[in-house]
Amino acid sequence: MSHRNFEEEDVNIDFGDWESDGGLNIFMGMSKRNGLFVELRASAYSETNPTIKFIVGYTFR
Amino acid sequence: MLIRIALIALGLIFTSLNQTIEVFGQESTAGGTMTGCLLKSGSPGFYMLQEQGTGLTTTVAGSDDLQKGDLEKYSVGSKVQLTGRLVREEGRDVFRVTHVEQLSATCETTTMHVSVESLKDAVGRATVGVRGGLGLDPELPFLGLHAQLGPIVKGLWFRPSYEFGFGEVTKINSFNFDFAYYPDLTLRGRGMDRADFWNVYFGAGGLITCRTAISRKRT
Repeated sequence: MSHRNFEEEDVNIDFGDWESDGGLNIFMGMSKRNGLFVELRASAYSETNPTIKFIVGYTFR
Repeated sequence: MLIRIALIALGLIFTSLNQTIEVFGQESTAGGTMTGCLLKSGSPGFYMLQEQGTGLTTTVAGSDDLQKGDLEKYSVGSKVQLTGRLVREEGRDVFRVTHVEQLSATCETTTMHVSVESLKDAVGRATVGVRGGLGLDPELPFLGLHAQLGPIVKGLWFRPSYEFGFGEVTKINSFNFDFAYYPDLTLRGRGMDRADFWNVYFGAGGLITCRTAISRKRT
């Protein structure tokens, strides 16, 4: 006769893994007169921020 | 390594933009009006119209329909409204003026002079906007808000922004303190409608990033 054991594992979910740092942005983009813009951004010296960002936005006039 | 690739990509894009401007340069014309600050340029018979709000400058010159000296008279920094046509001449865009109307004797031209008053004025003209996009390394979609203040000095804008990146595990809050410079450089297609022009800008700034990540620890 065989039986199966079920073991419950305690899993701690830690929301407190928090870190911050600073860095430098270098970017270039194009904007239309109606406020629409596209931008390519590179970030340096920051370990947490995405290195490259593709951005689309709108500036209200 | 990724930084180097990003800088090379930025350089290639900037180079291609310069080439694209020449490639798409057409000798078509479009009529309309322009408002801004009229200034002298280095070439006799040619002037610069500096748009308020963006600081973008356009080369302007008189036409046969305009009385000689009309542009010269207002080129001491008057705010004017020009009527005419934007034409392509010898590889550059020139707004040929058929009618000039003085709106005021002086204008709030953007100068290199920085003062408390000019900064207050720049804050008063601030605009706000929304943004979104995709970040790489780590791959994160993000949404954000920004403000645009300026021009603080000629063609230079302060553009603080906040971006919230939301991944499955990682959430990133980015506070950017960017300065964007708008050179006298536009990208356009076949048309001459200035509403379709793309103004090129570039810049740099500092950032502060706060990241929270969910970690699962088995006990």
